[in-house]
Amino acid sequence: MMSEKKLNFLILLFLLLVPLFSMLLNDIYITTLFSKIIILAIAGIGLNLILGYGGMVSFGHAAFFGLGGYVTGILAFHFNNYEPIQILVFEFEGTNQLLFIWIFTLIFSSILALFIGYFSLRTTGVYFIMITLAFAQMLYYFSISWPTYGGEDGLSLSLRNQIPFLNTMDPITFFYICYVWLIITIILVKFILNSPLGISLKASKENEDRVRSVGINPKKVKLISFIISGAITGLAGSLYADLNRFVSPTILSWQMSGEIMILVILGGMFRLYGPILGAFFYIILEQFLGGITENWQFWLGFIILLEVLYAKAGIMSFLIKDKYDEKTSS
Amino acid sequence: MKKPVLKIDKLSKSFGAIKANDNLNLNLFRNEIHALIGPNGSGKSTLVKQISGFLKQDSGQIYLEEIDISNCSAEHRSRMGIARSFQISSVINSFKVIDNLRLSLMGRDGGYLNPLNNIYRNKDYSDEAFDLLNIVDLTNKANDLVSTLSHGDKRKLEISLALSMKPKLFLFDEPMAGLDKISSQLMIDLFKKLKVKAPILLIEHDMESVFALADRISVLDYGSLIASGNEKEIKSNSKVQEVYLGDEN
Repeated sequence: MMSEKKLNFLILLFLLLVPLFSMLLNDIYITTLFSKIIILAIAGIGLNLILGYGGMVSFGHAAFFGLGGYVTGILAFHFNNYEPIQILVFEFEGTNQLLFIWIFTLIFSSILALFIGYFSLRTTGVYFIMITLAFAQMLYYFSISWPTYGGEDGLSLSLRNQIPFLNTMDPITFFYICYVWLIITIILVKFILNSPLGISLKASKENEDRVRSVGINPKKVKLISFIISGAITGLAGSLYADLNRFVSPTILSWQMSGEIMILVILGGMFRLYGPILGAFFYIILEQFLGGITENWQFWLGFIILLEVLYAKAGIMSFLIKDKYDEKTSS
Repeated sequence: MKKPVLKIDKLSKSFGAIKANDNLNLNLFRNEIHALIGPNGSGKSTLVKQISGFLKQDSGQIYLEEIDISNCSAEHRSRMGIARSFQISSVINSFKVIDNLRLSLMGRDGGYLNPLNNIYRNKDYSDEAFDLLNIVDLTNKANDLVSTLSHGDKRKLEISLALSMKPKLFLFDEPMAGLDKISSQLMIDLFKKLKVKAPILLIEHDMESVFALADRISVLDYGSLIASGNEKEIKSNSKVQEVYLGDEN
């Protein structure tokens, strides 16, 4: 048992040293595996902002994750083919520069989140779950029926997209790119949670009437938070596409939304670092159980069942001193 | 002629065949406590919900300092200066006492969508929050979780939240409900001080408190106003005795 601050520090320190362990064990796959963990953790932190702190159960975050992936894939595809992207009468060049790709990803994910959030936030509870799921499924089926970008087979990237002076094909370099994004995401969300927007979001989750009676519009608060959440998840999708050098409709499917939600719940909602632990255990369980049995999802489901019954605050609650509480500040 | 701070003009609200408020007219003037009494289901809380914007009226107008606010949202009305408490204490239980105040101060100032400023480091809000807690005698519990407060302290916190909005009027819906005699007396003393800051529309079933506080009393029955006047006039009104006060008054 330790303090939450100490655990958070140890998590970041451990992740920082992963490439070193990987080199010592002479197994570079470990670094790639942890790149995936970090990317899913970023997506989880994005979802946790609205799920844990805002009480919005979005079952459609694969829409943003997938859009991030497809923006990355499509821009790289057109760069490699020397064909401009045609939208109506306009033509745009593709690019393989990650700095531009990330900016485009953030813009497109935010616009999509604004659109989905605007309609979804008119509903609550189970209807909110269903409408976010419906939007994501619309994009999923659209991507399947879009032959230009591979349809059901997906889209391959011959090389990872680039950053000047860095070799992104090197697994360790790419790992640290993901690590830096994780740190940026943590700092951003921590800022938000302590900001007027964050405190309004947490209050809106608990008591909308009280929030309205002090002059705050909870719908606006939720919409802005939903957009930020979507943008973070979109960015994670972009990194995921580059990690695998492949993007397919799978990352837009409801299973992907479920995976992101599971790792948030597994690690611990209401905790900023919960999704990192959740992603770690999810991927490790996938690898470990996957090596033992084909039906590893069954055992994963069993573990989640135990967690929901006995440790609602997730794995974090086993490791830190302070017990379950819906924290008011991070 | 005195201009009312709040003017209700021919306000009506129905739920299906039931008329909750029927063509209601009511004024609230500066420096007064106007009590609204009546049997359960007479439409008192429905009226408060319409004034505060939580419920849309079917017809009629609501004016705040001569501005028609009938179509404004609840949050807009709050920022305009309509401060309310709820029939059942409504505060953010998972927050600390002082964070409830911080929330309402930034709601009042309108900067609540800012995603970057650290609200906990805003000294102006902290100082103002402590001043407000001092008024309701809650400074020693500023850092307590609201969920650990007694019912009476939650009521006091609600009053301080209403005060934080720099209100033009207070709407208090049964603030004495569930309070013991000592706490009720403290609340009565507090309300007497508050009415100087802004007039109070008070809904209350505890007639002792009503008669101790109210400058004017209006009586509702089946959504209609059946009487309005001072304590003496209300007590001697035979219709009020029949529907609400009974013979002992």
